[in-house]
Amino acid sequence: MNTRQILFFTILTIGTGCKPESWQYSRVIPLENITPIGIIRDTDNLWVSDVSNNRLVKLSLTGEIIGLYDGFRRPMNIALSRSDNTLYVPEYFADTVRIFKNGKISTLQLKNLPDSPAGVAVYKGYIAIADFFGHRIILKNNGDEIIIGQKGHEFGDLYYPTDVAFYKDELFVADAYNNRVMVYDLKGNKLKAIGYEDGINVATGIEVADEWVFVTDFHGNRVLIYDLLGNLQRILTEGINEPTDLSYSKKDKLLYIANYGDSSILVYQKK
Amino acid sequence: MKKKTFLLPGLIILLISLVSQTSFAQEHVKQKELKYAQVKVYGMACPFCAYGLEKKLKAIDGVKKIDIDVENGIASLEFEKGKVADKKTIADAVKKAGFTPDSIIFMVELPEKETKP
Repeated sequence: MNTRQILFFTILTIGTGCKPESWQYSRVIPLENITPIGIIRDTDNLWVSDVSNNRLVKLSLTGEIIGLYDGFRRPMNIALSRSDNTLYVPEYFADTVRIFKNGKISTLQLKNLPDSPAGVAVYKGYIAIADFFGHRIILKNNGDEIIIGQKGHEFGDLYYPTDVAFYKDELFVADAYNNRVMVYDLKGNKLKAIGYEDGINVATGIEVADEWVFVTDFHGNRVLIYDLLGNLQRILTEGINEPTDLSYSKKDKLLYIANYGDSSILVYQKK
Repeated sequence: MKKKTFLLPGLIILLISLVSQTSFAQEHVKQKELKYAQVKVYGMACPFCAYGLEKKLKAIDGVKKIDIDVENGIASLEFEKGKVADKKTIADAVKKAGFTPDSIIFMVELPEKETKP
C-alpha cells in the first residue's frame, strides 16, 4: 500500500468515525507438486484445481491432502453448489464443465459451447461460465441460456474473462484483460464496472461474499477488496504471489487465496 | 549403332535412379531432421494465456507434445514423424490464442532449457 492509499484510508476512517475492518495475514499453506488455479472452501475442506496435473485436490483446512481426483483436462476456477455439495469444474482444454458429486463425474449440457471455460459460478438454478476465448459469459438457467458480453473494451464488453461470481441477483465477472470487474443483472443488463481505475494488472479471480467483492490482481501481486458499490476498501499484498482465485468463509471470516506464483494457499483473517 | 542403342536406355535408367535416390535421401533427411519447432511469443504471462496457447497449438495436426516456458516466453512443439506443420499454421494457432508470434524455428533436437538465475 503506498502513502497516498494509507492517507486515504486514514482520512476515511477518521471521517466516518468507524473502526476500520482489518484483514490480517494469518498463514501460508505450501503445496508440493500442485499448481493451484482455482480454490473453494466447503464446510470442512479446501478444494484446489491443480491445473498442471489435470486433477482436483481435496485438502484439510490445515493443508493435509485428503484426496486426489484425476481425469480433468486443465481444470480452472471451480465453483461449489453448497446446497447439494456439488463441485463444478471448467475444463479449459476440453471446452466442458464437469459436475463432480460424491466421487462421480458428469458433464454439464450446454447449447452454447465455450472456447476454454475459465471459471464457473452457481446460484439459485443459474450456472454462469466465463468463456475465455469467446469473450462472453454463458448464463444457463435450467434449459435456457443467454449470452452476456462481447469482445471489446467498452462498458459491458469483455476481454478474456476468467472468473464469475453471483451475489444477490447480480453477476460479477473478472474481466481479466480489461483489468476490471463487470457487473450484470441476471438478464444480462450491464450495471457497473469496478476497479478500472485501480491499476489492476489482469483480474484473474473473483469472490463476492459478506458484502465484499474480492479481486485477484495477478501481475500486481495483490488482492483488492471493494464494497458492493465498487468503492475500494482494502488492498492486501503480504505474501501474495501471482494470485489466481480466492474463497471467503463467512463462518470464520477467513479468506483463502490461491497463490499460483509460489504454489501455495494464503490465509487472511478479518478482525 | 547397336552399342549406342543399349547405352542410351542404360544412361536414362541410371539418371532416374540417381534422381529418385537423391530426392528420397533429401526427403528422408527432411523427415528425420525436422521434428521440433520453437516459437517465441511476447506477452505470455498468466496461466490462462499459457494454457490457452497450449490448447491452440495442440490442435495443430501432427503435434505430439507441447512445452510452454512462461518465464522465457517460448513454446516448444514436438511433431509426429513426418507431420511437421508449416510456419503459417503455427503462426495462425498463436494468433488464435491472442498473441503475436515472433520467431518460429524448426530443429532436429530441442536445446537445453534456459533458466534465469
